[in-house]
Amino acid sequence: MSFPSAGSRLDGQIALVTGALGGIGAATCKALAAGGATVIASDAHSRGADELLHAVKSLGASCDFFFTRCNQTRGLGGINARDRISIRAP
Amino acid sequence: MPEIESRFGLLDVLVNNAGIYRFGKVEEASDELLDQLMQVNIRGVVLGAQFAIGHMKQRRPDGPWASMIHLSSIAGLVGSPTSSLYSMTKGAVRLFSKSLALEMAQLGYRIRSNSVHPGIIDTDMAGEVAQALAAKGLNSEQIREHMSAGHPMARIGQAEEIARGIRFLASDDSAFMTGTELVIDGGWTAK
Repeated sequence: MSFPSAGSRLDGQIALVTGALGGIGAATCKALAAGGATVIASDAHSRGADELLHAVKSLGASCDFFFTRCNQTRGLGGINARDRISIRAP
Repeated sequence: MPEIESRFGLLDVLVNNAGIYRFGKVEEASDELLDQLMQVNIRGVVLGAQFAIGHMKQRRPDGPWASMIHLSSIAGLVGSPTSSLYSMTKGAVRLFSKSLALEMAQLGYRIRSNSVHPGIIDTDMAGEVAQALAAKGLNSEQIREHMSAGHPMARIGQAEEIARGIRFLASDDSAFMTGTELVIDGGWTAK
């Protein structure tokens, strides 16, 4: 299943997705990126972050994608997208 | 908070998705189980929203509203005999989302808030649901059958099918929706 760039558009929007490395979280990152959003993805761990990066890149959508490790049960104040793993997709 | 804004500007969308599934009988539930579920599924959602409000509330009066999407579940709409504590947390998310929608509007913040209610979705979490059914004595064939059959459409859902709904709620295509639920469950809760 894929995400056509047609559909709901999010160009210029900045979106934060928590639990981004789970099944629904990862699919959401891809969907929002395909819609043109800048996506800041966060999760309490970083297992699978590289795979998500490649998946977002392979969409070919023009978007920015960032991953940040952050445990939401302690709040999201620690989010700063320091662990940027992707820049603008081609 | 200043750091995220200096790098990205104001936040437009929060997908409050982080959550865990745990099953077990209430009479046997440990403090740890209760704490884990409440920490991640309730506290995490509240803190996520709190964080986002700070990044969302100052918006252009002529632009689109910001959008928060909170992941609840079919377990936030109907009961489940194997996961009362999980259901409690997902029910909490549903009414948190609704109340937050009213609060944001009343405060004059241009922030929408809606919840999403997936059925059983083909993710690692479905594996945990399968474990709960195995603990009830079902074999793997019966588990597959049970998980699919709960949905009138006779299959479990795909993560992309939930993500499409989230994308809709994130975008201005849902501009007049706040405080409501998007149920993506193959008909599970229609029964």
